[in-house]
Amino acid sequence: MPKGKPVFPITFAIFHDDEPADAVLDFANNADVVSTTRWRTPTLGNPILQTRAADSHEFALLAAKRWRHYRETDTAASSLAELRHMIATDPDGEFCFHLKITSDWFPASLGGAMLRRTWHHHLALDFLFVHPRIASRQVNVKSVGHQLLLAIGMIAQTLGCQRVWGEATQGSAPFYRRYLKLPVDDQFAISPEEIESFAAEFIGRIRA
Amino acid sequence: MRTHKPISQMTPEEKARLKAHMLARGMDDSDVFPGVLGNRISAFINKPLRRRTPKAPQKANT
Repeated sequence: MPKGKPVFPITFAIFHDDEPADAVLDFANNADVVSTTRWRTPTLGNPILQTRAADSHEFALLAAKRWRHYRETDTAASSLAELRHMIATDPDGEFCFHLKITSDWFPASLGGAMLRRTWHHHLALDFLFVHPRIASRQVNVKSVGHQLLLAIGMIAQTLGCQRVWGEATQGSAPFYRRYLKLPVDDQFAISPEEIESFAAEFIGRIRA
Repeated sequence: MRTHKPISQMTPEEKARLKAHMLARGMDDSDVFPGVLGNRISAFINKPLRRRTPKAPQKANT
């Protein structure tokens, strides 16, 4: 660890109206996950932005559906401590956790991510999404995606996971190419070196 | 735990420094971040089908 263990929640900076603004990263609990299923897709004149809003809403619903499956099998963790306990109890088990980003200047969560800790002790990123109003640029918020990716690297490092992997689509591949600095096609894998780098970038500046 | 001083307590100079630092680190992802990451139709993420319990043949009440 660069500077001590991460203690959630973690306040960090994102862009709101192109200025730095505080946001808070934490593990999501059941109420947090359920609250994303109540998001509404705004009606917009621009078909591209309408699709982005619909996509983010759908991804939140799909992530919640997966959450329900893991909850029913007692393999969903709502804190880092709980996730660690599950791994210690069943080292070969597959466990799910959700991350959320909130702020005191936006009424809902700004976005979230659904991850799995696999049987092989890697992290798999299944879904990452921002609120439909952010995805459709009705609210000018930037850097949630990048900061969540760094935070996932930090969690992987904390758990001692040697890889973070996932699927890249045509739409998301440019994002991964930029931040992984690799020629990503339809899948990505974050190496141990990059995990260290992401963790250092996210947590290295942490103040108690 | 926080990565920086509360922004509400920052001077304009401190806030400008933080903004410059964030931009230099490539934190503005708006040109490449599509709002979602992942694949809605990935085979990995489909919930297993619910298995139906075979019904026992009904017997006529006697």
